[in-house]
Amino acid sequence: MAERVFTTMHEGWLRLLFTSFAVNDREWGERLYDYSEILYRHMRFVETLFVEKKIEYSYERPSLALEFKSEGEAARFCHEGVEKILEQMNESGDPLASRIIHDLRYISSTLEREFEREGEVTAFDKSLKLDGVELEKSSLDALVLFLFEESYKEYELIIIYSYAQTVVENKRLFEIFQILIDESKFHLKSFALLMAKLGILAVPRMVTQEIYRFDSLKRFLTEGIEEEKGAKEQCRALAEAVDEEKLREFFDFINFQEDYHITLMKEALEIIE
Amino acid sequence: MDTKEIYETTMDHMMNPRNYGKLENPDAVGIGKNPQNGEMVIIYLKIENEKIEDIKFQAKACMTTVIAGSIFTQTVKGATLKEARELTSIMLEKVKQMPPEEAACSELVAEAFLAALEHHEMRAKDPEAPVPTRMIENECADQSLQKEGVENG
Repeated sequence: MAERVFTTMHEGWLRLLFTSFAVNDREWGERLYDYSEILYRHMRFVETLFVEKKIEYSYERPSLALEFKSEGEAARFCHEGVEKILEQMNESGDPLASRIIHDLRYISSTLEREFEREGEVTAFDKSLKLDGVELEKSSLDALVLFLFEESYKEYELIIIYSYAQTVVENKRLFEIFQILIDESKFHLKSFALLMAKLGILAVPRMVTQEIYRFDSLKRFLTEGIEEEKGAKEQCRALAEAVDEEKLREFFDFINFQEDYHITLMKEALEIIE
Repeated sequence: MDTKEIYETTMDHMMNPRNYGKLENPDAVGIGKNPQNGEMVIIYLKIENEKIEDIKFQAKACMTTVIAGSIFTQTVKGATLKEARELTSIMLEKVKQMPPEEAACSELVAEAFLAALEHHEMRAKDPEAPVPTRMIENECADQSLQKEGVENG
């Protein structure tokens, strides 16, 4: 039962998060993003409680397809996710449960008011055009593959660092993981918004226990540093390959951002050694 | 299938990989592994009357492997074990004609499936038989790129 609530919260977070990237009305999209962040925090509060009480839970979840064609349908898709969590929450008098239920009821009611929205959703139409511009074929292929690989990778990192926060006792390590979660959320948002523009937005596949429950934090960080270096190289190569100035600048920016991650991961490695 | 259809099918499997995940209480499990970089595919099977009733896969690997796993599992779901084995042989023959860096992804999926079939046979004799792992021979594109990067300084 507990595992089911956690999975439902995870799914609810992803429904709101990816809908926030999908809608063309960016003001509403940003509000949905804020709500998705509230749902993420709910999931983490519950996780902390489960860890304290030694209740089994898992970040594994079923696949989640995004198929809505209008913003009204998008609101219903999010509403369904929120209502599923509410159905599984007990009015037990527990203060945390009460707060979560209160938040969810408010979010649910605001979503209901958006059911009649008529705006078209183009985030899954596979147009492969960026702001109406067709990219050169080889640039486009490299960009599409990169976005799918990296959106999964950022989601995977959010899950891994979230889980890692439950197993470390050092305060600085916890802070480092929080910074890395926030960085990965920003990267995921940046990549997903590009995917939505290209009409190829999708929720990444699930991260399995074998991946997020690492055996050795030291090995995970060491390999992670190498992966970050690889990501830097990919961004650099992509910046060179794409024949579009704004995109080139964006990938250069992401490339240099990876330097923060490498420095933080090296610091984390020093702490555990 | 023309180039446009292939592109659209590939995109569809990238956006919504079929049969991704785990099966509860599978009848057989197999692992395909790349010994050079640790990339792996796990296949879970539900088998009834020599037929694949259900199949799921997981990949700790690149997107191309996920596409290969999605297409492969969709194709063999519902097939008899004999048909699925024949299809896997054809796939491995095709793999031999590909450049090694492109072949590794499909090979990972095929070897994981063959390992799962092995597991099914082993479990008929010993229900506690361990999950077998089959290693691939080709090297994936990511590794080739990494090597190029190193060689080019």
